[in-house]
Amino acid sequence: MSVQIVFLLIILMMITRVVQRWRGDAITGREFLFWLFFWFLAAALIAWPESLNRAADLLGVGRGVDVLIYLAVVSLFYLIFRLHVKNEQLERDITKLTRHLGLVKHRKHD
Amino acid sequence: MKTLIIIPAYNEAVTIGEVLMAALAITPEVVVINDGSTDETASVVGRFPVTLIEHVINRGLGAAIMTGLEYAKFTDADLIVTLDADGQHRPADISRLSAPLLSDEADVVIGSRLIDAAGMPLKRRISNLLANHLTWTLFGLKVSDSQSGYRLLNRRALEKINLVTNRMEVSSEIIHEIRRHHLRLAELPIEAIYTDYSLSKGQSFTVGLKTGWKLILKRLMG
Repeated sequence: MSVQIVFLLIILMMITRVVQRWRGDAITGREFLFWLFFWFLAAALIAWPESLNRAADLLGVGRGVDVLIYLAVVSLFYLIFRLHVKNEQLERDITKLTRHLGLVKHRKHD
Repeated sequence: MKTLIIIPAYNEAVTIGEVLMAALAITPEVVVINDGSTDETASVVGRFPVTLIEHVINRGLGAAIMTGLEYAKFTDADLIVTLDADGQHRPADISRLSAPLLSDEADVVIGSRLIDAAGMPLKRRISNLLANHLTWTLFGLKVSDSQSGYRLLNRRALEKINLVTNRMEVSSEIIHEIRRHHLRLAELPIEAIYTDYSLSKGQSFTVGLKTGWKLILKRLMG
C-alpha cells in the first residue's frame, strides 16, 4: 500500500510539472492533454492494479504486467520513431540554414 | 557548352590545389564547397581563380553537393560535373565522359571505376559491390558504380535532382533521383587514382554500415 502511495505522489508531481509547462507555453495544448491522460492512466493502473489482469484476460495475454510491458514496448518504439523523424527534420533544417548562409555570403562578395 | 565543375571539400588542403589546377585546365568555372574544413583548405582554394562557398559547420558530402547544385542553378552552365577533392578523379576525362550528354543520349553520366576495376583494392571492390546491391534493392536501379563521385549532369537533370541526405548516402540518393525522375543514365569507365591519402579518405567499413542503415531507413520512411 505504501509503495502505491509513493508512486501516486510521484505521479502527482509529474502532473504538476505538466501543468506548469503548459502554463509556461513550453508544451502545446495537445501535448498537455496527452501527458495528462498518460499520467492519469498510470495513476489509475497503480491505484487499481487488478484492472490490468482484466485487460490481460480480455486480450488473451498471460498476466496484467505482461499487458503493461507490451504496451510499454510499442509506445517506446513509436516514441523512438517520432524522435527519429524529428531529428532527421532538424538535420535537414540545419543544412538548409548552413547552405543559405554560404550562398548569401558568396553573393555579397560578388 | 558551358561547363561548371563542383568540388565538395572537407579538410583537403593536401590535394585540393592540384585538383583545382587540373580542373581549371578544363574550364574556368569551378566552384569549391568548403564543408566546414578545419585545415587550410579555404586558404589553398583562395589562391586559385575559383568560386568558394563555405559551410560554417560540417554538414557532409551530400549537403555540400546539393549546395553546389543550388549554386549551379544560378549560373548558365549546360554541363555540371561533380569531382572528388582528394585527387581520385582526372578532370581531363570530362571531354570523353560528356559525349553522351552532348549527343543528348543521356541526362546523367557516371564515371564508373568498376567497369574496369584494375587497380582498385579488393576491399574497396567488395564494399562498392555491396553498395551497388543495396542501392539496386532499395531504389530499383542497377548501376556498376553507385558510389562514384564522378558525375556529369545536363541542365535537365540539374533542375530535377533534389538531394536531402547530408552525408555519404548521397551517392545512392542520386541513383534514386535518377530513377524517380526518369532521367537517362549512362556509365563510362574511369580509372580511379588510388593513393594512401585518397584511400584514407574513403568510407571505412563502419561508416559504410551506418550509411547502409540510413539508406534503409530513408527508403522505409520516405
